[in-house]
Amino acid sequence: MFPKALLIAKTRGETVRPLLLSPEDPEAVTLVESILAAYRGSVGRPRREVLARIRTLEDRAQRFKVVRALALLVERRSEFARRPGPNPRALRERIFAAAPGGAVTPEERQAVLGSVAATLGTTPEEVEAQMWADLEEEERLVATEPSHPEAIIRAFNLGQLQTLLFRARTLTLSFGEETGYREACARVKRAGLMFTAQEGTPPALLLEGAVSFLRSTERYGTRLAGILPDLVGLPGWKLEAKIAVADSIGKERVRTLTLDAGVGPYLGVPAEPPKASGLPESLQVLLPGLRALGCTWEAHPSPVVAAAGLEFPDLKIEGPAGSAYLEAIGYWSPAWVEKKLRRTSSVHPPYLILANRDLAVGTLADDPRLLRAGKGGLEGRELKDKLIPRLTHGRAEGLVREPTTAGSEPWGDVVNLARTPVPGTRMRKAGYVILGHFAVRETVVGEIQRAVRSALPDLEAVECTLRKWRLEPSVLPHLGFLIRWKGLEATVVEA
Amino acid sequence: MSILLRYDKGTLLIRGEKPPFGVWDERVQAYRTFGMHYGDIRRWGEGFPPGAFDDQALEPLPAPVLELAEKLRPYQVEAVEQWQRSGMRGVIVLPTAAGKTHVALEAIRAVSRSTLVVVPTLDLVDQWVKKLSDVFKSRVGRIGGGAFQIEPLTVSTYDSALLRAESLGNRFEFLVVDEVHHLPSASFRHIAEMYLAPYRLGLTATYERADLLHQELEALFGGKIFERGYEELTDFLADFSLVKLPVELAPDELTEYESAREVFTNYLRRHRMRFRGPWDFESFIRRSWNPEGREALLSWRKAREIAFNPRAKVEAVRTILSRHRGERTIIFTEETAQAYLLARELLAPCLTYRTEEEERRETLARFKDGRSRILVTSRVLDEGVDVPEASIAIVLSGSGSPRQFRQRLGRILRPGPGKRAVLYEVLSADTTEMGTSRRRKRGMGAVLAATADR
Repeated sequence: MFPKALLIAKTRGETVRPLLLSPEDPEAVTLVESILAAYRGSVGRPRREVLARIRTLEDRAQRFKVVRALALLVERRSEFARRPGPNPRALRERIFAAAPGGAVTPEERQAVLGSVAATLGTTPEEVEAQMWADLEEEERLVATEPSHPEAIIRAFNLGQLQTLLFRARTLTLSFGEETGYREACARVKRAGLMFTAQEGTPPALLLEGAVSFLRSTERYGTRLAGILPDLVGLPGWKLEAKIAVADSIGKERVRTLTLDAGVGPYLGVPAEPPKASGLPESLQVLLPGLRALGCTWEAHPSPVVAAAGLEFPDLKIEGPAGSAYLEAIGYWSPAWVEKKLRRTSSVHPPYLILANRDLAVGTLADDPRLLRAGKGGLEGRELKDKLIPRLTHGRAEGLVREPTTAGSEPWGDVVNLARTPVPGTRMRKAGYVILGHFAVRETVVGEIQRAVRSALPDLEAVECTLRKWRLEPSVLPHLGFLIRWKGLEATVVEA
Repeated sequence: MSILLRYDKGTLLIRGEKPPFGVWDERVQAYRTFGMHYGDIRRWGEGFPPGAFDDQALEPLPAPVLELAEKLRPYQVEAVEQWQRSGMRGVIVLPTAAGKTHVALEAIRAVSRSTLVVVPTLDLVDQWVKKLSDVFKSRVGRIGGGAFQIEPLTVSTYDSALLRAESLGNRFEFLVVDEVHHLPSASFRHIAEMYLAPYRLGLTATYERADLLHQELEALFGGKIFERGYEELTDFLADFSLVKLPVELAPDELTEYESAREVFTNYLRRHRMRFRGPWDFESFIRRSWNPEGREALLSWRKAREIAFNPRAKVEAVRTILSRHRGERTIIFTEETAQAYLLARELLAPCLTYRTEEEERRETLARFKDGRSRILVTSRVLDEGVDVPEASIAIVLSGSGSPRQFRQRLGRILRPGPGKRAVLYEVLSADTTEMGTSRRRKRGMGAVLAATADR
């Protein structure tokens, strides 16, 4: 990818297209050869000299940005290193200490350099040369990887397309053949991109862009752009992206980029199309355990028809007592997780979702179909409470989600008002006290407080205690406790 | 029907009813809007019956208990009162060295809620952290330059505040933005948009931007609510004078300068272009894609480079330094390369955007305590950093921006016993730099009249 300033795109009507150079264009090949020669001829020289040579090429070229972008690619294939010698930072300290008021006259300058050189047993010239040797532009070129001009041109084309796609709002991928489509699904999922399937044979994939709503995120944009090289090797693909491009007065307008497999020669088709990616690691670690429980599974089963289109589970697990679909999701927002849970609510067998615990926030955390994974993989409690009972005999009662509709009195000791929207007055009349978004039966409040007090001050222990009543730490202030924050981590609870 | 308000990565999600500024987000089946509308939505929520408006958006850090022992100057008191009357939102404009920080401290005390102070540079982070902890005797968090430590009073760089906006946007109730004229840029405006903080204070010495984007501060921060200029505050600043020092280009430099200028001016004449403001310059840049325009642009650059860096300027600096030996002197350049060139020549410390964090701190500390009496810098010291000991400034090269000039001047205006500050402008005679120097002093007539412009 390139910095935005090096994107060279042309708009015509409602369409946009980046500049793509033909790897066989003699003019482009000559240009890349001269850039490569400028680097190869500068081995041992400081970066500022290499850049000056590139500036000369830029000044001569019709489109200086093309030269700058190609040179950036060669720079990325080059190695620079600091000039050997005394540590520049330490050297500066000595010089500044020797000349607190600077070297106002040339004579003073010579004297300071001379005295510092004498203490180090070196020459004034060496001191002068080394003084700022740690600046980037002073680093010396060690070597430039041998590259074919065609490879650099292809990398340029790929970089231009990726830089443009980074700014896509939506991206639609369609396929002439089932194989390409299945492969693409696996890759898109693996990249953790937000997508939905659109009707068709085979269906098209609609990918959410990084700048789709209110905000843009760099990480997501980079991943979206990153799937392009994966696509190039797949059969019969077509891409249509809606991209916000600034017009001549700087106002952003949405334009369309269309690409298909015909662009292959510009980007270079990998010798062998890459194979479908395997299962994500978070699922692979589960497999031995599932086997031990007598379960079998199918990886990448056929897509499942759900409420609003197709879903793409990673696993279909068959256990002695039941079966389930399981899908691991990556860089999604909590709002999308919520939507995904809604969309898959009627799928049978049940459709389980494995997500990073950061995404399973608030009431989502309690959803029986959402399995939370931390850094070390799926959390033990989630496995025990939410997955195993669905597949094996035993704690099958954990399968059923508690009713969330109002009016099904009598309520339990604790009612989560976010999920059971009953007016507070009605709860109070029924003998409850309102603690944040929870209603707690008056008679058990004292018991809860005692239990919390005995778990102080460790927040985790307190959380564990609260969970027994299906309460969250947000009730603590209402129970008369104070959470002390250390940085962003709430760690200690005080009475 | 009840309303649920939640924070979602820099935006607000509202379920139940359409709130002010809400846009329907089909994907999550809820209304969505920027975090900055939180205050308005909360007021809107007050119109609902008790319990019907569930505000789960703000999760503020605990409110700090703050007391301020410092006595404010009359205009500072006036500024804070005006800000309070404006609903604790708005921008206060005071010249550099007039004590904007003290105004902010009083505002922070008045609000006494979790506060995030956002500043442009790491040096300013240091300065604010020190000031806040000294004044409030409280722990102060720091975000930026590798540090990530959150406290009810926290200071962050613009970059980090933007980077962390999704996760931190609902943790602070008060947002203070120093040098707030940077905020309306394409990316930094997201800070104002994504944080919920209903209380907002912007500080700057130079509100207006040449691109007119300062108009957006109205919506983002509440607009300008208080302003005082140098001429109104002379009692509180050091005495100072401005000295213009023109130097002659060497004959070879002059020939090269004039031929480059000619290519450029001929191009302008052929295309009937005139430069009346930055927008004209932008249109010139946009036209430089073709060989003719590119040649004109390169010639303009070359002429500018010669005017910025003639050999005689180094000699002029030597002369000034020898006249002020022993005084704390800051030398400003427009470009980084020129700063290093001069630092190499004078064997003096140099501070640019390339200087690493640890060395920055050490360099500034050394200059403050007098272990170094000269400091060469590019544009990074234009803003905010407090060096009360500095009394001499040498502007070796600079833009025509009045803002930059005022900021650079402000660096030497902190009052001190018997202090007499001097700002030297070293200019290439017979070049456009003379005009640039006039442009950057626009609007300072009253101040300049009071000093000897030799």
